[in-house]
Amino acid sequence: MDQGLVIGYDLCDDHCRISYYVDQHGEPADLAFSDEENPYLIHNSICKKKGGDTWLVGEEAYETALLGSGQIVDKLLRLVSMGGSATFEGVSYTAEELLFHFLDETLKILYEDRGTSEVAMLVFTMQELNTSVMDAVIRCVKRLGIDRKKVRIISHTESFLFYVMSRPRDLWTNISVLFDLSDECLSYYEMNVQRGQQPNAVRAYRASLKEGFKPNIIETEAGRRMADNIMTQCVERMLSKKQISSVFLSGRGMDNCQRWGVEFLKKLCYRRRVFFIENLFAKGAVYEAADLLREKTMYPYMILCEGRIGVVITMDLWQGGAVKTLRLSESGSSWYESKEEFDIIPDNEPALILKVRKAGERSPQNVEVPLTAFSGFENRKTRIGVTVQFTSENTFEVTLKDKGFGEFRRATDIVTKHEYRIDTAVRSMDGEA
Amino acid sequence: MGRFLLCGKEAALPYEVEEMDLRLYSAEELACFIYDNLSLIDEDFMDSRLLLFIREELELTELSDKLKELKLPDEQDAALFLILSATGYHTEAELNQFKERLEWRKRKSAEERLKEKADILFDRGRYHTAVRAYRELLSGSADGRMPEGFYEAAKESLANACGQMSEFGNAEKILTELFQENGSERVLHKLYDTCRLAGDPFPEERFAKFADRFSSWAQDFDDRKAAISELISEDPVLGMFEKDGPEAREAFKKYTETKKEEYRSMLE
Repeated sequence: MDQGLVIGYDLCDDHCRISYYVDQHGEPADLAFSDEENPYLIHNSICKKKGGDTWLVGEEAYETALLGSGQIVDKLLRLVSMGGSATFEGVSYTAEELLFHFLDETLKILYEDRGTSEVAMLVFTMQELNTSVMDAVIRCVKRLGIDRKKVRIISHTESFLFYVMSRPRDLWTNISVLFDLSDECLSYYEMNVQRGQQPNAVRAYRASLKEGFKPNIIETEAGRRMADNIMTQCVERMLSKKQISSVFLSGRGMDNCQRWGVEFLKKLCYRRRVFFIENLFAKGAVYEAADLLREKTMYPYMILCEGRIGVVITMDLWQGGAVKTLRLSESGSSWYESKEEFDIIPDNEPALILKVRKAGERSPQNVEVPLTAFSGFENRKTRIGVTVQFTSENTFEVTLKDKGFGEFRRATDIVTKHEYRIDTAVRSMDGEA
Repeated sequence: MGRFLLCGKEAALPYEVEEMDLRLYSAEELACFIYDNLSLIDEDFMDSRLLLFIREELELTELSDKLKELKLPDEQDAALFLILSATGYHTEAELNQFKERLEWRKRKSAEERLKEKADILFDRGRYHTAVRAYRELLSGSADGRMPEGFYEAAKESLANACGQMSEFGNAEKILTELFQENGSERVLHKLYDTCRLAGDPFPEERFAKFADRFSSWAQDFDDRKAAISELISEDPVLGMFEKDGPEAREAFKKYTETKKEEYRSMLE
C-alpha cells in the first residue's frame, strides 16, 4: 500500500468525525478533536477571528465567538447546497470558501496528531449525496493540494456496507442493520447479500424514520421514556420477521442508550448480537479507502446502494473491422466517478444505441440517442465526441459534440445533450408510459 | 445496415501530405485519404515519416510492427491494404474494391500513373504540384515509350497549369513548342488567348497561315472578357474590388452592415 494517511471523513451538517488507519490490518482509529465528553465529534462550523486571517473550528471556534472575538457560521453543507455566503468584517465569503477553511483546519488537526500530512487515500462519507456539495468538496480538497485520484465521496449507506463487510462473516450471513441517531434524524440502514449472481451482490438501503427525535431530549426523565418508547416501536416495526445476523447502533444519541433505552435494548438484544460503534461511518470510509489502495479488492461483491449505479450500459462499435462491446458503466460502481469519453464515426446510422441492463436482469433494453443534429453532414465524415456521465445514481447524460473530420470537414460548434432516467429509459422500450 | 466506428487516437502532430497541403490527424483520415487518392500515392509514400506517424502519433504499434515486416516500396500495395483493413474505416465491399483498384493500377505504366496523378492535382487546383508532376513526366518523354499524343496532352496540361498560376511567360513558351511539334490550330488559339491574358503581343507574322482566324479569336476573347467583367461587378464581394476610393469604401461599409444584420438575426 501507499505511504501516507488512509482517512475516512464523516462530513455531516451537524457534526463531523475523522477516522484513519494506523495499522493497515487492524481497526481504524478515531481522531480525538478535544477533551470533551465525546472527543471524537467536531461541530460543523467555522469561526473567523476578528482583525486577522485566522480560522478556527471546534471548541476554540465557539469560545472565540462567545467572547465576541470572532464570527461563527455553522451547517456549512446546507449553505453550500443553497449557494449561500457569509460576511465577516465586511468581506463576503462564499459557502465553498468557508467549507474549504473548515476542511483545512480539521485535516490539520489530523496531520498534527499523526505527524504527517501525506495522504494516501481520503474518502468522505455523507448522509445524502448532493452534487453541488460533492463538487464543492472536490474543489476544496484540490485546493488543499490533495490529488483528485486520492479522493472519493460515498454515502453513509455505503460506509455502513463497508464497515459490516469488514466484520467477521457470521455477522452478515443474513441481514445486518443499523440504527443511527443524529441531531438531524433517526435513520435505519439494512444490508444483505444477494446470491445467485456473478459476482454476488451486497445491497444496502437507508430509510429515514419518521419517529426521529433530537438526542438532547434524553436529558429529562420524560424525554428518556419517550425515546425508549420510540425506539422499541422502531425495533418491532423494522426488525420483526427478519433474520438478523447483527445490529449496529451509532450516532450521538446512541452512545449511552443503556441509560435511556432499557426496554429498547431488551427487545433489540433478544437473540440478536448488538454493537454500539463510535464513528461507524468514518470507519467504514476508512475500510473502503484502504481497499481502493489494494491491487485486488478484499470485497469481491457487486455493491448496490445509494451512490452506486445499478445498471450496466454498453454499446456495440466497430473497431479494426470487428464488432467490439464498449462498457460505459459498471453495475456497482460509483455514479459520481462514472464518466466515459470516446469518439465515434457514424456510418449510415440515425441514432446511437445504448444497451442498458439492470443488475440481476438478463436482457438489456435499448436506449436511442438521436443524431439528428449531425444528419446534414456527409456520411462517415463526422467524428463525434461522446460523453456518458451519470448525474445521479438513477440518471445519466449523453453529450454529443461535433469534431468534424480533420481538414476534410472542419468541426462546428454543435453540441447536444440527452438525459435519461434509468427507470424510464429502461421502461420506454417496453412501450410503457 | 449501419454501424458505428470507434475512433483511434487523434494525433497531436499531424501527418502532412505536402503535395496536397493537407494534414491528417487520425487513422481514419489516413485511410480515407489513401482510399480516395490512390492515384496520388507514389512509391515513396510509405516512408519512414509515415511509419513514425503511425507508431508514435497514432500509437498503432501492432499495425506499425506488421508494416515493418513488409519490404517497401515493393510491397507498398500490401502496406496500403493493411492500413485500410486495420483501421476498419471501410466496409468489406470497399476493401475488395480497393484491392481491385490496386490490381488495375499495377497494370498501368509509371508514365500513365504519373500523368493521372498530375491531372488529379490539376483538377483539385494544386497547380504548383501539378506542374512539378508534368515536368517530371515530360523529362522522360525522350524514351518515347508512350503512345502518340500522350506527351502532347501532358504538355498542354502543363501549359494550362502554368496559366492558372499566372505564369504566362512559361505557358506561352510551352504552347509555342507544342504548336511547333503538332501544328494544332487549337493549341495556337490557346497561345493567342494566353498572350492576350498576359498583355503580351501575339506574333501574328510567325503564324500567318492562320491569319484569317485572328479577328474571330480576338472577338471571342473580348466577348468572354466582357461577360466575366459583368459577372464580377454584379457579385457583391468581387464587385467591391473593382471599385476605387470613396465608392469602394461605401461598398465595403454596406457589405459589412449586411453581414452584421444577418448575424444579429441568427442570434435572435
